[in-house]
Amino acid sequence: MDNLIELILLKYPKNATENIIEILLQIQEAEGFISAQSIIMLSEHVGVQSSKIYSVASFYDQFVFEARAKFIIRVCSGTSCYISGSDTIISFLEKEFNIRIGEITRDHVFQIETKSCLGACAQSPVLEINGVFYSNLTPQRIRQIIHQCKSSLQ
Amino acid sequence: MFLNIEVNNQIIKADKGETILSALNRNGMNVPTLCFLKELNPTGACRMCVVEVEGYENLITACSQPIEGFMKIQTHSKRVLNARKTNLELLLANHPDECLYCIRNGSCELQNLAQSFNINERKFKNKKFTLKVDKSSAAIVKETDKCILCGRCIRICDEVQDVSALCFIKKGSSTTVGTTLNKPLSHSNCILCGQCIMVCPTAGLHEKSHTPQVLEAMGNPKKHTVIFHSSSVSVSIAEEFGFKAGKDVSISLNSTLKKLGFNKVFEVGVASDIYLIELAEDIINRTQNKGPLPLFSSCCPAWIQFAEQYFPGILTSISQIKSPQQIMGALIKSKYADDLNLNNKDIFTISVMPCIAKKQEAIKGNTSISSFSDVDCVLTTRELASLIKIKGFKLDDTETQLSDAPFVNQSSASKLLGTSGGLTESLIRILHHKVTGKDINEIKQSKLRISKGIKEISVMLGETTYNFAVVNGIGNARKLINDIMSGKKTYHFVEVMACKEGCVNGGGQPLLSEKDALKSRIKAIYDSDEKESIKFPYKNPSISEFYQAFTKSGNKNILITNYKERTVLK
Ligand code: SF4
Ligand code: SF4
Ligand code: FES
Ligand code: FES
Repeated sequence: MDNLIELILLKYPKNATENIIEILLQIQEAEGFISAQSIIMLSEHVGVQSSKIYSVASFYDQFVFEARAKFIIRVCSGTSCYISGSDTIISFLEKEFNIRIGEITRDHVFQIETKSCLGACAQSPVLEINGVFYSNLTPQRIRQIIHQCKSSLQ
Repeated sequence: MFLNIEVNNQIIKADKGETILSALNRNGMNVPTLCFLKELNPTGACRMCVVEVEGYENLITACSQPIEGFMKIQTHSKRVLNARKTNLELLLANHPDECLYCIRNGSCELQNLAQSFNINERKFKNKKFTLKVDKSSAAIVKETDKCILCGRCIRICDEVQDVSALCFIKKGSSTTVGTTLNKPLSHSNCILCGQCIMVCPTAGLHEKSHTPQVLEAMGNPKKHTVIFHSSSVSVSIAEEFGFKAGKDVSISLNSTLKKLGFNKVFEVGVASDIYLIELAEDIINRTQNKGPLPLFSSCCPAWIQFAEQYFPGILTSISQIKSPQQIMGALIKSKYADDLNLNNKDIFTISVMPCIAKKQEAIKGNTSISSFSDVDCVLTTRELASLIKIKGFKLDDTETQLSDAPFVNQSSASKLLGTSGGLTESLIRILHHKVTGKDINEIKQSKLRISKGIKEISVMLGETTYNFAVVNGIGNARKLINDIMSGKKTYHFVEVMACKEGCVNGGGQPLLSEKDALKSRIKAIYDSDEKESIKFPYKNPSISEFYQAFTKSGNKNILITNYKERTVLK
């Protein structure tokens, strides 16, 4: 992954500050987020302290500084969903991926989060993956969905 | 070129190109400021300094507007006062009402402004306070809620220190001041010089207090408490008690501290004398044995931290002699403990310093060769003043007392360590004696007494010309080291102090001090060099006994420390 960043940096002249945002965008595109390592490398390349890079980057909402998974699963934890068993869904997912809420799988493919009422109470329990809703969930259905996600990667 | 401008219906002279603020101040007129910092680029961020200028529709920030021609200015019109007051109320909207429990109560620029604008009710309340406090650093506490985003800390750390540990994070109402990736300060590239604390108008940044530990030890009958203070403290602490800057109270401070109940009170000067002698020896050894040269001084812990982070390649060129603070602690816990038949575990050593990095140095020292901590606590000048008040005393300048035995004396040269250049000046005195066997005639090195970021001096001693460089402000140090590494400059010895002008301007010194306080403190240090009788460290009778003991045991280990590379986000 350092190589990836190096390749990006090579495209830009050293000690030139005007490309910082463009480079940051490319790093995020390649890595999914802006890591500490990439900030250090960028800062050395353009000759600006890391705090100034971070200051610029944090100004824009599109930059994230933690690894994000390919699939971010947001399970609704609103009242309706809770009553219809959102917590069993959460523990099912936690077991399935061997991670806890908020965490991310080692291969950076899945991440589980909770969200309060997703606005589809009638079809509870529901979850959302990268903007797509799945309702009336059961463990089988979730297995199916996960399978779909995995196969879409190949 | 001078030109006339009109301020509040009065004609004053202004320099073409200077800011409105500077013209006003030179003419004895004031407008409130918050984000403005002398000698740094104005940002116009706080808008407290706005004035009304005829011909301009909007109010103008006096701190950033240069005067190019005739101007007609109102500094306190109704419109201006209203604008400033609203500004202030908006700042206060994001500020917790915590004054009573705040470390800056009584020395806060925001509080002072609120008072002078007669603000007695809360107009706006914007945000929920998170009360997030970063206590991770050994010496600095960062209280996010108290920050008013003036940006002074960011600018001093960047423009003067060239460390740039701090930055603005995010934007709009979510803006905060923090480090790269918003990591705790302890994981950042901060070198703990404390210069950001000195410019913080509120309690957004302040020192980590050691006062509770000191009170605890003082109340514990099993603890033998030993306190020692440095020359930079004794020329500044009087300011905290309402005296004019530049009053040297070293001997009155001794007697006050005795009254407070410490078992022993010393001045650190005796350790500084030992430090200087050892350092001189290090220079001579390295000169004779071909290096590595230059030798760098080791008395400033912020400088050490800076080198450990940014120049690991030169760590072997930094003298391994402990700083005076650590030497003093080591002497107390070894020689002094033995003499008094005390177990060094029962001794509690308190160092009073103008510096906050010394707090970290004391902790770092714990992992050194010895099995005990040389120094248990470090109080800043500010903390000691407050401790004296807590204990119900004030600084009594009529009573005087020498340092306790066995560290009664110190040379006046030892006191010069508080100023940038003073260390080198004192070293030259010793080197002269070591090389020629005689006292130097001209003790004063005026070239080193001027106020300048980088100073150089060459002195012929015996057959050899010794070249010295003196640098203060860590940004200047970075420049000088780059020149040395590239071979542009060569020296025998380089004195580095992280704070501009040296320790008298350290991060633990009085806040909101009067104009020119720094100059007066420096003058007080040089005056005492003039007045006092022991001017050479090697003539200090208090150290001869120690040197005999050292030579007998051949063991100077307690004077030695070591350095390690430190990887941080820089
Ligand atoms: S202590 Fe010094 S290095 Fe650390 S943040 Fe403050 S000014 Fe910067
Ligand atoms: S110059 Fe003095 S006060 Fe400043 S950090 Fe160094 S030792 Fe501390
Ligand atoms: S509670 Fe889950 S969608 Fe409303
Ligand atoms: S002091 Fe002028 S804008 Fe802050």
